[in-house]
Amino acid sequence: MRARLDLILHILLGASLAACHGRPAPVATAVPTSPDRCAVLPDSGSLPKHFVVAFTDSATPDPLPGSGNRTTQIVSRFLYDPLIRLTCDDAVVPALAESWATEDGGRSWTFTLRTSARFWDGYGVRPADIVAAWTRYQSGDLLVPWAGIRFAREVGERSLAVYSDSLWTTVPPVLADPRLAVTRPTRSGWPMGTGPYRPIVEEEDSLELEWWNPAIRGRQGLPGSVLFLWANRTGARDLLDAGVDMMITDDASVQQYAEARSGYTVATLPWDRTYVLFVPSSGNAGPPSQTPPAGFLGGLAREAVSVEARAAEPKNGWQLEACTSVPGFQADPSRQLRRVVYPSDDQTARELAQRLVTFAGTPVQGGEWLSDAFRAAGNARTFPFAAGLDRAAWRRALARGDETAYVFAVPSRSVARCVLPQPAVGAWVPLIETRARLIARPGAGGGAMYLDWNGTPHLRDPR
Amino acid sequence: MTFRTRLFLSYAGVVLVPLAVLLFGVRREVDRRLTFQVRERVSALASIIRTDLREQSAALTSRLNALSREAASDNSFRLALRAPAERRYLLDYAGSAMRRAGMALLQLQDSAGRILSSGHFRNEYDRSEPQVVPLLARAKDGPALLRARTPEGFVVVLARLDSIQVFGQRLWVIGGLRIDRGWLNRLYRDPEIAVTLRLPDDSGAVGDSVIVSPFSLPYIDAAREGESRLDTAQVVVMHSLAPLARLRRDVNLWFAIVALATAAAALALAGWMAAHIGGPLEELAEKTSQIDLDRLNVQFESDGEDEVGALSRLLGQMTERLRAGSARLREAERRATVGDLARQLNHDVKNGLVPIRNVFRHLAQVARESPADLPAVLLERQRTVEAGIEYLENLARNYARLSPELGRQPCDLNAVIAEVAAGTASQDRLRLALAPSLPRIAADPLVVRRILENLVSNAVESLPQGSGTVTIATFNGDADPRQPTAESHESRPIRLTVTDTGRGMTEEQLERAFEDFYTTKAAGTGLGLSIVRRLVLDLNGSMRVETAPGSGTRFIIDFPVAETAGRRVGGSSLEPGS
Repeated sequence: MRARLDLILHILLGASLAACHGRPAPVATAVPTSPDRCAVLPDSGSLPKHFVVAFTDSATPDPLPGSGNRTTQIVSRFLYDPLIRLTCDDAVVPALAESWATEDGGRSWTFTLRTSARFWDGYGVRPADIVAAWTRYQSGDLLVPWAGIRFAREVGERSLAVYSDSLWTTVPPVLADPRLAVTRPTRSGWPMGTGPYRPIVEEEDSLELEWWNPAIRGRQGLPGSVLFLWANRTGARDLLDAGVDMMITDDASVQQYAEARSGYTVATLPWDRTYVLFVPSSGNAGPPSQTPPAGFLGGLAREAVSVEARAAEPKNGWQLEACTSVPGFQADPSRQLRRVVYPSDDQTARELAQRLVTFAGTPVQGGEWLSDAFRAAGNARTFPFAAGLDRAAWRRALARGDETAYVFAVPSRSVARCVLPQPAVGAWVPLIETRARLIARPGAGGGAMYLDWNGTPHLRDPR
Repeated sequence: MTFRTRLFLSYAGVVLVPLAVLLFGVRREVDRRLTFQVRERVSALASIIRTDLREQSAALTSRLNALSREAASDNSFRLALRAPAERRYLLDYAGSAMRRAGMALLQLQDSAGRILSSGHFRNEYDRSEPQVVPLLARAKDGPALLRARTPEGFVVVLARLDSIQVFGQRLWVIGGLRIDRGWLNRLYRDPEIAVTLRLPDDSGAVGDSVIVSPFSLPYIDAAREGESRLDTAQVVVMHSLAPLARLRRDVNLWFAIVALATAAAALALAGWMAAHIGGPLEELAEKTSQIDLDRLNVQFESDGEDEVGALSRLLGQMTERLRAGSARLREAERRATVGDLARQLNHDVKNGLVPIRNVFRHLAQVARESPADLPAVLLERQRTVEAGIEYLENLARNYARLSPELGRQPCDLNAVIAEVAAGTASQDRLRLALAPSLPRIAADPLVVRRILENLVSNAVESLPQGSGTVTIATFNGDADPRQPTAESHESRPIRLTVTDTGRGMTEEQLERAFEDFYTTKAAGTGLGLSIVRRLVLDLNGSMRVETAPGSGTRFIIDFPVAETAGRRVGGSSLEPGS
């Protein structure tokens, strides 16, 4: 693997030296600045046949698309399709569905699937596949509680009717939520998807995708393959030096390095991820105050994390009560509360968790508030520790509610009534918001990146 | 116990006992020396570790000094202390400096104990920890251990304290090197040795199977809830005694092997010795056991020059002497037998003649006193005379055969008693108590008569002058209430008792009563009772005597019942002609 990466770096370095010759100084650009309203950067030509994108976090296969870290979300955008998509300005565009209509005033919507909608293995996507994919969220009488979907049924060979528990006067934007992407489970690795790219080689620090649909391969001027590289912060600088086509990172020092050296353009992406503290209910104490003391969140954003961050603000669209209502939930009174847990693939969540565990029982600003929060979870006397869990273990821990607290990121924008990946009983507090920067080598495809409604960058949709 | 077993036990004892003593001594010496060596090694390692900790502490002090000087001369660091906008540099400073210096803990505190920057716990900044610096300062003379929190748990370090002056205020710099299992393991390479760090809260006891050499270090638990204090931790060097135990097991195993081999060798040697020594002895014993007076032709020749050969030859000579003595003895016995026979013949003839003589005396008396009654008396006593003559004839026939085969035929015991009683001179003293319906016995009537005549004659002679009686009684099976027998009714013998009220016998007299020629009478032959005993035994009967001085004597004889059916006498089943 190391030899292979070195070879890639040499190729990229050669390409970079050739491309940088005589280029203007990089410019930080606001979003969006392109004539195309959702393009991240001005289009600077066609994309290379083999497109190389680097990240400072790694993506991990996730059976629930849309619930991983930022890198996993971006990679998933290449691999999976929901029924519809929303552009950066909330315009609805087709994805798996090519058309939709309602005949009962918005109580239900019927979607017609594209004829070219296929899984990576060539099998056509049927309405039943979509229902099966959504069934993983079923709870009680609702098929997808957090999206307000009561049920969905096949009404034709390519037609799917989706019924809501409320009135949808327009096509429901929640169907663009990446969590509703259509997948089929596999034994291991990435779930089977319907996106334009599919993974072909996955190694410890890279993932290579290929354009798999021979019918439209290369027609849209899109790269035939995309190589994602996961680098640590030191390695990120090496990749920039080697001339990687693009890098997406929230590491401020890497951004500064890219801005300091010539040959790259840096674009700021939207504030797309909000880190929250979730304190599960102990069942015998009231919820903690959701309002941290003044200056506490600013201090976290300014000093506790190594990424560009700001204090989070409550999001009106999140409808928190919908996330915390789980009928019949009873916390286990014998639970051992010693940890503040975070997803181990999220560096910022780790830094926040490590900051929060210092507060319990200490007279630091915010300490009393946090102690109250931990006490509400039943942990008042012992120092909690920070512990990173892989995504599957972390989701199980969240479902059990048997940890002192949970620190994780959710999308800053939500089209669903609940932004949490799953319902959980307790109180949760937005802490900080973060954003990433897109570092692109001009002429190497940076102009072909567009933004979704939630700030996820992606290649131009060929369909 | 056989000769072979004795040999085996002797050999085994001679070898195994010294072997056991040797093992005990070897084991004890090995124990002592190895334990001493292990103690020396553990003590030496503990000393090395103590020295190493001091050196590490000194090196840590040097590194902290260098870091402190570097921080004091770092402009960015100094500015970050005063400019909030540059605070991130300060927060990250300890982390990068700690990694650069190869430490596991680095913490900068202001004079009030507030954490300014922490390398092991980057986001611990602003927390107040005022106790640690004074406690470390108290332990400044040597290495001290510090337990601190990290985001994910705890870390124990060898800690030192330093300080710098910036902007007129003192900043404390605490640095530490990790003291964990990996660090302890690097101190030694011996798998039998374990070095552990025992903190004050550790409650685990050291097992008995190790040799321990602990030493103490100052210990500060900054991670505990509540106020920190200066405590004591122990570095414990332990050496397992397992190798010693293994050595003991090996010694035991080898001893067992040697003991078994020795026992096997002793067994083989004992077998060989037994075969070469015990074998001839056993053969000699076998030959010796065959020797008796009838078989003196056993050969004891031996060419052996050893003791067994000499013993064999001695036995041969002894057998020769026995053979000669036996021949002389047989000749003497033959002569004695002829003499005995003559005396017995004399005695028996006398017994046969006594009734005849009595009849003739009676006839002579009748002829003198009432000659007219002579024919009648003659006829009356004719049967007695004829019986006496018949007795003498049978006696003569028996002696003619020298060793007569006793006739066994159904015999009416009561009839024989009547005949004997009729021929007895002292009939007025004789009493008969004969059982009716007495089964016949299996005996020659002549022999029974000889028995009775001898017993009655002796009984009458034992009576005092003018008084006393002799009672002859027969019993059918269990009819003798004084002398019950254990046999069934059918197989019970017929019992004859001859009881007198005479002077009886002493115990000594009774013991010798059946010896030949033993008599207490002036004119006795001493053969009567010996003949009786011999005759009773010849008839397969049994006899015993009950007597006491002054109380008379009672002879009890049991005769076997004849086997024929309908053998009763005086009953309805009497045989014809009986």
